Amino acid sequence: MKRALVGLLAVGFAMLSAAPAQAASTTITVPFKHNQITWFTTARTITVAGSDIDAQVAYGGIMQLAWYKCGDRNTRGAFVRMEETRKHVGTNFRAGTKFCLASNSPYTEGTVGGTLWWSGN
Amino acid sequence: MERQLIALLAVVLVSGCAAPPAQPAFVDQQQYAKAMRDSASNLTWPDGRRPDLDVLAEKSGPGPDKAPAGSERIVLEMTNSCAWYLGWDDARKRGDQAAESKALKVMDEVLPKFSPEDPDGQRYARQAAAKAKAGDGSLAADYVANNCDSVLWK
Repeated sequence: MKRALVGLLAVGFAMLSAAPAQAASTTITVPFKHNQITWFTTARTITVAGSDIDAQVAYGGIMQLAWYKCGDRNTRGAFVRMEETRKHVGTNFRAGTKFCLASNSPYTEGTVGGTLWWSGN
Repeated sequence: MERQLIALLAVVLVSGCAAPPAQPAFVDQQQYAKAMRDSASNLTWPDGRRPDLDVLAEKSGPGPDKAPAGSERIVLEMTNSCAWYLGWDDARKRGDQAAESKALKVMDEVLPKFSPEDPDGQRYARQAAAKAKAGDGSLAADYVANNCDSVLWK
């Protein structure tokens, strides 16, 4: 039941974050699980060479984000602990790169809102 | 009152029967791989650029976890874009004008419609097609270099 709920939130995340992709940033709602990776499948495209992927989240539990190649989960960045200040999830991406996000937490589970930046940053 | 309740129950039952069968919200690795095989056949692929779907599903699937149903679509669309960009380049290298024109048509008319949830990606696809038509394959090449290296072609 718990897994189904988190999964449902993952779908919600994908749907909610789809709308404002014209800009290089968007608000995100990220569910995360304790010691288990949640793989989100919303793809985003880097349009400016050398861009970073940054994120910040509201207070809501200790969670981590990582970027990964949507078509290959073994190609990914390290998990980065998210905070209320903006942090790099990944740096210096080449134009044309499509990426997805994954979350987890070493301590707890929950859902947190925040902001994601990915092109021209 | 009793008659009204029976009538209401009948309406509810009829409504329930008329509803389409619910699709599963989440799929396991096996279901994901099957969905990928089924959906891949709905796409067109250039000669010599068909992905090994078993490998693709293994690399992109949920493994021991679950994935949202339909999530194979994004991976297939990315892979199909890789196939047509590479197919276009293949055709140019061997001087096959018919294959080159066909690839350009797909790049121009089909690929920019993929992934409506990623407008940046759609804009990139439009620009890649426009440049390719002008003989500049740089955006297509960048896409391939950054997104396609894990695809095994058959």
